[in-house]
Amino acid sequence: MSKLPRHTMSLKRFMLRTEAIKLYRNILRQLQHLPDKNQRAEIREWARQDFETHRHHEDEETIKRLIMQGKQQLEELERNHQEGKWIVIDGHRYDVDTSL
Amino acid sequence: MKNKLRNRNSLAHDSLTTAPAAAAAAAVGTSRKMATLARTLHLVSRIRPSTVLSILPRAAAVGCLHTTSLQEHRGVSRVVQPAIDKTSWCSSSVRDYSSKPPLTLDLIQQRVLLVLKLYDKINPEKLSVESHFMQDLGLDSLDHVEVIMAMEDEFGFEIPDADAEKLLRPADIIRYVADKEDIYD
Repeated sequence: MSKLPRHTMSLKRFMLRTEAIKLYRNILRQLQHLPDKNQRAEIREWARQDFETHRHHEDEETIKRLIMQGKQQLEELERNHQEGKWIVIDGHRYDVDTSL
Repeated sequence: MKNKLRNRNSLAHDSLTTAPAAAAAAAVGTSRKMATLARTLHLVSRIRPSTVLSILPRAAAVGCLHTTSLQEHRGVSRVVQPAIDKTSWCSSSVRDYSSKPPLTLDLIQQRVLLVLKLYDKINPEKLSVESHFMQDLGLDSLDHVEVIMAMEDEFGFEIPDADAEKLLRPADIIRYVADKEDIYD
């Protein structure tokens, strides 16, 4: 078996990485629907922070679990866009003021 | 078009106001012209003070014209109607819709580089058309997602994930946008 360069990851890792990037992109796309620019920037920062804190994980299971959590929060965003009422971050409820 | 409308209205007013001026001037005669004009204009000033100043020279001119021609014509001759260009604003068939500026390769390049310069994670001094986002500019994959989203915003169309992951230099983005907008230079 020929030696591969050190930085190539396994296919599974690569797939998970692609998942995570897709998740981030979908979150950003969902955020475009929010009327308030400040809130948009806030949630974007918050999402980015979350991604950064979990950047270092090597364990596949942890990564999968975190991606699942992220997807649930994305669904939360989508649902609240459809209802147009409120969003929940870390158990706190934020009212989305659609009149802005 | 607004200007032409305003001119039309003011001309209409002018014709109203110059008629009495002309009549007065014609009736009185050459000698008392200026006094009559002054009186008429005083009357006129009650109607519409704003146009008085504008018609002052006109009334004088009209007055002159009418006193000289009074010998030939009886009564108040019609006011010299300035030729109103009736054809231009009614029949204008050009409608101006707001549209995107015509794209050229150069314009796309300028816009792409501008968006990148405004991105706070990019050092504008290192930025060039061929610089690689991750290797030269030190961005990571999440930053890259943000950059592609900014490009979507700038050019107004969505870039699918599969295409997005291949756009790793500004040159790639420029070529991609040009392809999508069918611009060949």
